[in-house]
Amino acid sequence: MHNYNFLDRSFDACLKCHACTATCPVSNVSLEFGGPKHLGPELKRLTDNQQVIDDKRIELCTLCGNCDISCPENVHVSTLTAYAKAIHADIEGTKLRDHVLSNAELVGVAASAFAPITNAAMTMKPVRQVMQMVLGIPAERKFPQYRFNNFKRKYRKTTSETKRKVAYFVGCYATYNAPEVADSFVEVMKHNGIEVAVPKQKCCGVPMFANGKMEQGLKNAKYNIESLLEYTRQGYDIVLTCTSCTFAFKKEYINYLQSADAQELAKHVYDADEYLRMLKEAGEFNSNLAPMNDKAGYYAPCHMKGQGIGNPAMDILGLIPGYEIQDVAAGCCGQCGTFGFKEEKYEISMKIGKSMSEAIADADADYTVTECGMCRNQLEQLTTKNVKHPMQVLAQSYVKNLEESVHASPK
Amino acid sequence: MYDEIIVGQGLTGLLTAIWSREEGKQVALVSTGLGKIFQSAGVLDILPGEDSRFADLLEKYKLNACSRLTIYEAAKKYFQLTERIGYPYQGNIEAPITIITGSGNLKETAFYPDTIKPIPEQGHVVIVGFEEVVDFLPKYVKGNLQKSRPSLHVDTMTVSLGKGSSRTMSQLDAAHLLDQEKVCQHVLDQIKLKMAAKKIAKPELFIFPAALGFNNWRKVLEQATIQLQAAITEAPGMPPNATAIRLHDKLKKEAIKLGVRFYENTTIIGAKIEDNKVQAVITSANLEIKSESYIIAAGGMLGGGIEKTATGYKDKVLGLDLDHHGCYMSCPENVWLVGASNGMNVTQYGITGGVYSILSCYQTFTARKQHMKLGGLQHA
Amino acid sequence: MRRKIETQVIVIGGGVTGAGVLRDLAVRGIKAILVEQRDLGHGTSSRNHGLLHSGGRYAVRDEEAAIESYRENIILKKTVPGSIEQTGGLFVKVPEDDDDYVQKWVSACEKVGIPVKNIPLEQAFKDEPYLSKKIQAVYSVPDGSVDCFTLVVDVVADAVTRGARALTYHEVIEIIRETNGVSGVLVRNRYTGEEIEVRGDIVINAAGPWGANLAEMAGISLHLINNKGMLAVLNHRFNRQVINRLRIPGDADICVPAHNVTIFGTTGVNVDDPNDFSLDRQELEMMLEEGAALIPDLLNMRLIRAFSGSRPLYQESTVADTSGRSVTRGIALLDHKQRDGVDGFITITGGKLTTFRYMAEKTVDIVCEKLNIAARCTTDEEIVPHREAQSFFKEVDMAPAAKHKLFHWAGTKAEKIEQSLKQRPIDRTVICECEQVTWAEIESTLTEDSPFNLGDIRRRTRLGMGPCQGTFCSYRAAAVAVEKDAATSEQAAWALNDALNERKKGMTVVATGETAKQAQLMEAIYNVSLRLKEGANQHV
Repeated sequence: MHNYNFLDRSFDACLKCHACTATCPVSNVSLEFGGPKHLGPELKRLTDNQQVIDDKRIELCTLCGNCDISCPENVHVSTLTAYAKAIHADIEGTKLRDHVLSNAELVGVAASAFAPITNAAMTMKPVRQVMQMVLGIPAERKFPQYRFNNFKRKYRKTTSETKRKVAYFVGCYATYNAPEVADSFVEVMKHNGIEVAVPKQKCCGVPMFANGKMEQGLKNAKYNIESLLEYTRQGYDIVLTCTSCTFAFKKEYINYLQSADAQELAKHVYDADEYLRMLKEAGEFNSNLAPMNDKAGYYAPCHMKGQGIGNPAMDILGLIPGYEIQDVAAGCCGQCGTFGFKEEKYEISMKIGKSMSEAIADADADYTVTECGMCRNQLEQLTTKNVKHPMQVLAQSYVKNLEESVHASPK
Repeated sequence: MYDEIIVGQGLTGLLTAIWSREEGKQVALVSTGLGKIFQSAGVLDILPGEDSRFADLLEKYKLNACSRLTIYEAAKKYFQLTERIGYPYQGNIEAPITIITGSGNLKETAFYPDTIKPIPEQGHVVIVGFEEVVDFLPKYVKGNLQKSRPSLHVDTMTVSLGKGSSRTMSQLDAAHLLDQEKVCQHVLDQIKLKMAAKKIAKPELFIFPAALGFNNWRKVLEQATIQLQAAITEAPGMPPNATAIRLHDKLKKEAIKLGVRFYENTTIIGAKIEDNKVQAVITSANLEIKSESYIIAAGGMLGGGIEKTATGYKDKVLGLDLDHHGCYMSCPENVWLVGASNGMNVTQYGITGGVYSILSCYQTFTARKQHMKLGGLQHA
Repeated sequence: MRRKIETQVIVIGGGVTGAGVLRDLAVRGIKAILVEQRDLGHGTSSRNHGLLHSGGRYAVRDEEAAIESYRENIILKKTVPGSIEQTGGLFVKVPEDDDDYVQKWVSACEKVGIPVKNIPLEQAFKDEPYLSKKIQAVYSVPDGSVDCFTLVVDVVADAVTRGARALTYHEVIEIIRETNGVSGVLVRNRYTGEEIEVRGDIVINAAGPWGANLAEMAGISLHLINNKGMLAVLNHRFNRQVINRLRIPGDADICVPAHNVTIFGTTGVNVDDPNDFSLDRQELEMMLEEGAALIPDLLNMRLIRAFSGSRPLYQESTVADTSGRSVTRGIALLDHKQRDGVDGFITITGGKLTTFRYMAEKTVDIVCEKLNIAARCTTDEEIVPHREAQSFFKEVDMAPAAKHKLFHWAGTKAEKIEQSLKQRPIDRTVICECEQVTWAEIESTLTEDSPFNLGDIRRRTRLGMGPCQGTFCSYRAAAVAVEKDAATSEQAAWALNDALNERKKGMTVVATGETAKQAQLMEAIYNVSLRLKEGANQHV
């Protein structure tokens, strides 16, 4: 047995107030789940310095972090559940599928290499049925497409020459599934006079943590921390376009590792919109945005909310003239990273996502905006509206403004 | 950056945020957790834990006479809001109703949602429990009820929700189950069968746990009313009560849709103060958030805004000095206190009642009211 | 006309001492009745550290006590396994303490025979991360943790199984004297007020701190000093092992892990009234300050409650004791026929929780002499039934942690509990989530002859011993009891109020920070949400 007697005294503060269980998206749709209160602070107290208790139900926790958000006492519930997952995985072992899903990066590399085939196969019913049988990935589940021309192939800069320097942690999703998001980010940065560098990086580890692969995830964490600290110590700001990745850097690395390096790095990490908002407050934001008469519904990812940064996407997109956007006030989308790809979790994933789909349907909007790729996947699974990343919208506005100013200029 | 920063996501924080946002202000709400509304009964009392009249509140909290008028406006505004968000509250501040709690003991409350009905002095009531929920047990409820209502004819029954739970099932869990039409019908069918078996004719009131659905509470209530041909009430008691959590859910969503910026999972640990004005508040992540005004709706000691130490009370929001009542010795000019943040004087059993919460929100709201834009699709 | 009960021996006091005596009598086949004014363990037996001394604490100052402790330590680990966790213990040297004492202590332990082992600091930090980084030396000893609640309950239960009888909530209000001496006691049922005459050949006063009161009822003047000490319960178990401060025994120098919590203490002050369980805020703070040298985080940790207990210290005016048989300087065993000319009355007091068995053995030896019974003591071999029940519950579909608890807790009730769990879903419901107590387990502790009492249940199941001190589970247990016809509505209401008030007492003195919030949450739930009126139906 490994030593999972990790140090966390946050559970000491639990008042048994039930807020975490009341807001846990899994608990709200399933009675099979032990709930954050029990699987978090209660189990920790029952096992701390005592005998280990393995609770299989921990598999249902999606590490969404809503329990952390709802706890008035700053109990790090999801940290406790993450370690409970690790204990469970250690005791019971890991399925092939979960190995695969944990290693999003490896899968990304491979799948994008064979993107046309991968994408085609993923839409074939027989293929999906075999996948369901072999891996336990539901045939009905929508899969994000893979891009052969992934971002890493395209973007090679590792340093910035501009005054403001940004080191971009791209993340698996923007690298392999939505390089256009990364492109848009670079574009937006360019319009703000900032050159983007892309440091060496590994998967943030979130899929690993979600599947109980704590040690593996922490290895990646240490790698990324080391790599990025080199940049921050040179004056770079670390910016990300995936809220789950940002959440990992800001919260999970600190809570799981409890190291000084993790804490140092966190101070330099920004979500993309958050960074732009920071620029605006510093008077350095490029406001030459062309009017856009779109109506957008904003979907707030759980890992955005958990960062405690307000709603930077709304703040920034609101600067576009004529652009109308409203937060649809929906709960968890239900995809929850790799959770939604699991056959035995699919039903729960769908139930969780139902209220989101209703909120999106209720919104008087042309398309949906969100920063999370996995949320996008669920949105595309459950709604009929297109989904855009805020960077895509911003880039579009900058470009449009440029074009219009060109036309307006005398020849 | 913001016109107002509100600390706290409890009832007072949410109301303040919504009302300010309705006036067009740029509002940010910073909170650690979701407020004690999650442990609340979902009804709004005058003096908590006490059968009291509004005059008692005025006297006890030494509120001024205008509060008599203000509460009507505040209540009306609150009712309009709850109506709008689809969870209508009602009640007359001068006529609190007597409701049954999940223990069977009775209490008076001033404002309450549609799922709450008063307890009659006489007549016939039926208490319905769920086999799976131990926070509401009919025989126990009956025993306590009959102490206050000896004339009441009380029948009890326990029915099954048809779903086992691997965790200790709460009323909220039951509420989510009842949202499912099949579960709801299954429950009502059992009730009707037991009614027939026990030869219970026409009771006036059915008493249920605070679990009559969550999103579909109205449908559950209607189905129950129609099929049971009687008034239906929830009996909120042991948290979590669906009665309260519906309110928070609706209020929070409304605030979000209106455009309030939620800084969640964020603890305010101090402030930068110059010239008796807060320039910025500082989070536990050393983030500075700036605003014109700062509204402290941190719920006092139970909410987390105040900590009781061996040597007295400590301000956990701005880090300022508190007197022995937990009140700011010197409150910065641009800081407004709402609800329990006004000190221990306005709390009883650790809480303010919902009535004072609404009144306090409304009074500070009107005191700093300026024109704002309403929500919906916006430009930021 | 009063009801009468006949027996051979009457044991007054349901603390660990009385329990031990009762069992020893039963094991020797002597008919006996134990009478306790409240629930078993009401006195000091449930108000202590729960430290199963290895003897290390007394090695330097009281060699004899050390020997007794170590000997009983070994016996109890073997004979009462269900109530003892073999945690091991550490003696830790901090800079503030006397350097010389370390070697002195080590030598003394070796002399007594207590196994001592030096632990590398790094290993110590790894095992016990909350230790001060400034510590200078760490030694391990075979300390253990005693669940003093289950110890008393199980010892009495075993005695009852062997034919003894126990009357709880029956207070001795009079000691019946006849020309030859004491011949019985008059007890009053605290719940019903009924008075019963219990007749026997010998009355054993095992009333602990109340011992002098009982002696006085027999017309005997007995001088006992009640040395009160405060203990604090921390919300979580921060230590795997018992942590002792390596210095001359004093205040605030022990941290004992007790299931899911850590008990820290203690202090010492003499009080007159054995019913004085009062708590002092100042005393608590001094204790925490002192303890911070050993465990710096102590000042930031959540305390869920505090309590106090009185050590009954016998002190005779004459230095030499010619009238009584002094077992050790800490244990007082008095045959009052010899000391005071009162036949049929024996007092046993002093000592430790750890040495209860030994005290009982010596006491019953005297009884056998007086009754001319040849039976020998075998409690050093006889095993109190284990609480382990891992062969049960495998097929029951229930929460892992709750099953885990039953594996280690169900004991002789395992079969009954398993039956309930299989038959009724509500019985599988976890009533107390912090301690994973199911209704089936609670039900197994209810008896027909005793009214519904949440404190009784708590002591037998740990119901409500979590951070919220029973806010949720007390209510649930009371309500389920009514639902299951195990209690009337009135009984449940009284029990609930009684339990809440009792819990509140322990929370009040530590009510800062989280515990202050927890107390207010409890108040809000009970006074606002459930509207259990303050003081309503309260009986004390």
